[in-house]
Amino acid sequence: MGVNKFLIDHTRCIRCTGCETACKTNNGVPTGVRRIRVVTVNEGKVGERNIAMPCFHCYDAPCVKVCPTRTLYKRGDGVVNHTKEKCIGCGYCLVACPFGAPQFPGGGIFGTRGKMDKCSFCVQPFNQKDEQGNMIENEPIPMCARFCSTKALLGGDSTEISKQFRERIAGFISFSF
Amino acid sequence: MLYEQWLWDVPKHAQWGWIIALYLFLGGVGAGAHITAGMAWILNKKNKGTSKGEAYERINRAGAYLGPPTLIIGTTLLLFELGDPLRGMLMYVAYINPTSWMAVGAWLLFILISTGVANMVYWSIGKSSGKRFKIGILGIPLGFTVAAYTGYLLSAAQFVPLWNEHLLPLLFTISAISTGIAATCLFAFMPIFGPITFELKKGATLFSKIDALLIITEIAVLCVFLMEVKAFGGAGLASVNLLTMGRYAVFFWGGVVFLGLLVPLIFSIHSFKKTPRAKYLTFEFGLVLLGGLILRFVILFGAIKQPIVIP
Repeated sequence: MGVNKFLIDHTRCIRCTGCETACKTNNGVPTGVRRIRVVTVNEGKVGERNIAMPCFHCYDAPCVKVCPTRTLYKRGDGVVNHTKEKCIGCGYCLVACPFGAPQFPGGGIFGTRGKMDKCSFCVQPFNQKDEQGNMIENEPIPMCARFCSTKALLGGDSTEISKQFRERIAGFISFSF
Repeated sequence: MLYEQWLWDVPKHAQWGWIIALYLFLGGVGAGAHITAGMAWILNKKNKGTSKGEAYERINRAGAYLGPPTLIIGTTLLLFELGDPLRGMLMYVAYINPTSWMAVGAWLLFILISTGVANMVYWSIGKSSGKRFKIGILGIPLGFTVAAYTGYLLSAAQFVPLWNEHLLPLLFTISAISTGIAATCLFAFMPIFGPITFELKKGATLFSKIDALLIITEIAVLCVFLMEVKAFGGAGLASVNLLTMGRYAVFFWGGVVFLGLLVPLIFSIHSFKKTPRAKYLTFEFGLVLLGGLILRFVILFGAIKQPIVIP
């Protein structure tokens, strides 16, 4: 058993933004919060690339290190999750994150950023509570990876993903010969 | 932070803006005022009973009255910037992660403000000087830690090369002491503490001399800092170019280097020869404060995050 990881094959992405739609529909994320977004680099130039940017659930996550309130924490299965009630909305995680994963919906008291929200590997939908008032915790099955049309985005157990990706590379090499 | 250079857009309300820059300045001034007050207390004890000692006591009093309100204004500004300010005020509930410089800094500020306010109360009562001095001397180590924390707060972001891990805290600490001395001496010149005597001017000149040494160190640290960030390449090079040649060049060269460092340095070198007039001292200290303020703004807004590299 490995930990949960995303793997992005930037050579395959066609920027259909199906992952963004699947994420929003599945987790009920409002406008302005983009838990996953497709970024295009070198647009219109040689070497144009599309990359889906979710939270990458880093092994040694900088956001977990800098969060003053322990809102962000790392689960045993590798998912970096967040407890929304604890967040004070300081924006320190956004400064520390190299990928810009933490999202802020806005609408705080003085027009500030509001409470943080980020990709939780589909463990935690946006602000949905059960009858007891606890946050819902689902199984870590990422919808973006499930709905990716070209399978550019792989998500799940790291050993399984790594095996799949190696097979893909091996097939590509044998095909090109 | 300049988010335009990122590969993705970050909405304006999520960014760290002018409130943070102003807070870093006010935190530095407040910490520096505590350090200055502590230094003035040591000088006061050495020259006890003389008119010189009275001048140092006046600077000590000015620092004790200036430090805590500055820090309180700074931290209150921060609360206006938070997404959930009511939760941000609950110290025991909110700031519990010891690896986060924000949590450590919140506690340091809490301790410094409480000791500073206690010191202020003792000053306003006036009589119990023993307790007042014991608390006042605590301001020196606490002031140093808070001044360094304002730098470490930024340098915890590993992927912003401009917020260098080692040199930014050093730069901010030196700048904080320098601006703290300037603010305290300016405050001591105020007519609410009585007329400006020759001895007070002499005391302020001594602090101006300390300021000259600090400014020379700050210039050296700033040079090494810029060179190290430039050597990082990528976003570091882009940040330095933005500061020295790009959009913030006028503020950096004109505001920080010329008005904030070189002109006060010339004034304070002049004060080594003879005691200058109060007008000149006021002008010098005002420029030091302006330079410190612009430095925080330039460092915060000139930061560029290292972009991801795609083969």
